[in-house]
Amino acid sequence: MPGSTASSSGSPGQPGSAGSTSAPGSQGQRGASGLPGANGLPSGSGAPGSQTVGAAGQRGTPGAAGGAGTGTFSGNDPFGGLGRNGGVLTAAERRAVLDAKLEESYGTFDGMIIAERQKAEKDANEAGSQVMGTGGAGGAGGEAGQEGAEGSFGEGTISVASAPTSGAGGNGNMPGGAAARQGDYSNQNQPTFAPPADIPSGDDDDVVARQLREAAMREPDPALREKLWDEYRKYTGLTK
Amino acid sequence: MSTQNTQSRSVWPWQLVLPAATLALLALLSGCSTQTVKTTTVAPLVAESVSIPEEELLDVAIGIFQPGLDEVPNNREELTFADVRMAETQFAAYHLAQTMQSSGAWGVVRVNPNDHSGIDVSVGGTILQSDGETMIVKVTARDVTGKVWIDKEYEEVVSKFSYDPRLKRAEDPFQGLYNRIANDILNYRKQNLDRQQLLTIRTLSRIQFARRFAPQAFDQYVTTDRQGGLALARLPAEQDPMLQRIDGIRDRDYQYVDALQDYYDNFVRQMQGPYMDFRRESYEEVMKFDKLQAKARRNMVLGVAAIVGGLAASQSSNNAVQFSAYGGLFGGGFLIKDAFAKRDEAQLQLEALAELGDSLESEIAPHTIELDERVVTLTGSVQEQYAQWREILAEIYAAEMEGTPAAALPAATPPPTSAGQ
Repeated sequence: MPGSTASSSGSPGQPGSAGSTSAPGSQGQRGASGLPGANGLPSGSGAPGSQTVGAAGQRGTPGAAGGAGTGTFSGNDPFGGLGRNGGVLTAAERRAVLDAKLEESYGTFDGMIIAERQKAEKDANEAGSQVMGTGGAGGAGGEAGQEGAEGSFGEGTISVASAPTSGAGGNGNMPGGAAARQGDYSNQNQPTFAPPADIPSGDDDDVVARQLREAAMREPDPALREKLWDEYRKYTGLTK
Repeated sequence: MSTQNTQSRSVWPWQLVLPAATLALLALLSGCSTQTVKTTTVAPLVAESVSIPEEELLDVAIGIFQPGLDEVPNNREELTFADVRMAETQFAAYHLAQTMQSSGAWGVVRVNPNDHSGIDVSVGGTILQSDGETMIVKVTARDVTGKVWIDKEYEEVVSKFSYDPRLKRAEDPFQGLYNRIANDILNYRKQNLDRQQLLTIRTLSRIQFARRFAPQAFDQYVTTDRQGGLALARLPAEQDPMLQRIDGIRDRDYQYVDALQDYYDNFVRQMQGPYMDFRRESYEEVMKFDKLQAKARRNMVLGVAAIVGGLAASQSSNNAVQFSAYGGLFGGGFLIKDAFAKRDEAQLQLEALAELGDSLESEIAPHTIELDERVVTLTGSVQEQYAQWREILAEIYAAEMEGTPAAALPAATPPPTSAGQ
């Protein structure tokens, strides 16, 4: 079979992080995207299009027909030279190759978006001033925004009127691992919580680990925060 | 009795009454001023007080507002600055998004300058007037089926106290306007949509998004009526592999839109200081300008009326009438002269406003340009990637359909029923 020996299927996608409970006025944050697992090499004889782990909110790399190789494409033809015994690929094999190509491009796209967001965050930090306080997607942002926006108009601070604080509970109802719909955008004003002592610096975190780290550091609910750190530990192979 | 004596005891002639009345009116009106009641009270934002199940939370996309420069009234053209207005279109959209998100009644609410076809609720607006004192916007909100939720104009007039730094108001002076818009949209949802309808909207937007990338696979699930309204014909299987691939793309679309929010965040942060200063200072100038214009107009009208009345009365042979005619002519002349002086003063106010506007434009123009460039650049890259994904999905679909008997195709499920409640 052309291409390298197929290895195990891609690691399962990480579950979406549980949404946070919220302060009044917000439905709380949706769980962070359950990102697909790290690019696994197509392998095995999974049924076309089957998922590796089927838990709600998780997406793994689709199992692909064996023998599809590692995606070393010849020229512009993604299927070049990959057929069995030099012949034409089956439909299932073609699907597998295309799925691999799709997954590969996901990684490129994710990297592009992360780079843009890091650049925007850097610009925001350099600007230094407080952004408009608001509920945003976070629970406590409204109140924080009100508190954080003191100062006269001359200082240029503005906050959006948040929901009334009395009697307007807006607790989110976010089951853990809910199907993801939100990116991890959060208002810059949200407080961050230091990681536990056993969590390393995260300089070598991949995309998924970084997402888990950021979600945990921004989670105001201690119980949910600990669960997110547990997921981070599980994903990065840390023992508690 | 002589004829003259009879005349001296008769009713005053109109030639005497007219200029006298004009002078009396002048004295009265010159002391009057228009009373406009303004308030610093901000319409409160209605927040959701009950927990909404996640599957019922609708996502909202707010498009960049239209600048409305073609709708600027003639008397406001000189008070409108194009570059400031263009910056306001993004500011207003961002502010409305933040307000709606704060209510806790929605899923994700984002400013999205792109195609809203795969979004639950789409909001668009046009700024019709925006100066330090008055803001008028026209807002339209519709859901993915095409049903229009609201389509109306909102106006807010603020008082000078909205800008008084001693009051330490943390809100935008026009926060009440944004709150009212958010409240109306929420009110529509609460009063018109039950759970089933909310679920249908969510599902339809998911399928609509899928159609953007794999129309050959998903067109079959949506019908369009004669008015362009959309409805679900049937549903794909939940485990449909193509739908799951689309969900992966949709997650990334959310990430892309979140990246755009970062840009808008930074832009608003950069412009809000100078913009607030401009609104506060221009408020005073606009008030003065309006007053001067109004006074100039009034004095001109009255002055002309007095002169006309005086000229008519000057033809009379009656000494008293002639005397009042001179009063009318003199007073009318004075009023007209004053009207010209007021116009000159108003012109000076206009020049002061223009300076403020130019100053703000030069301050925010670089940020506006940078924002546009970033959005265009990122969107361009994203669209290129999307085009590649469409090709890949088309090939996958072709591979899936190849040699697949009709009986082996995934069974489609009917649209959800209320039994699921």
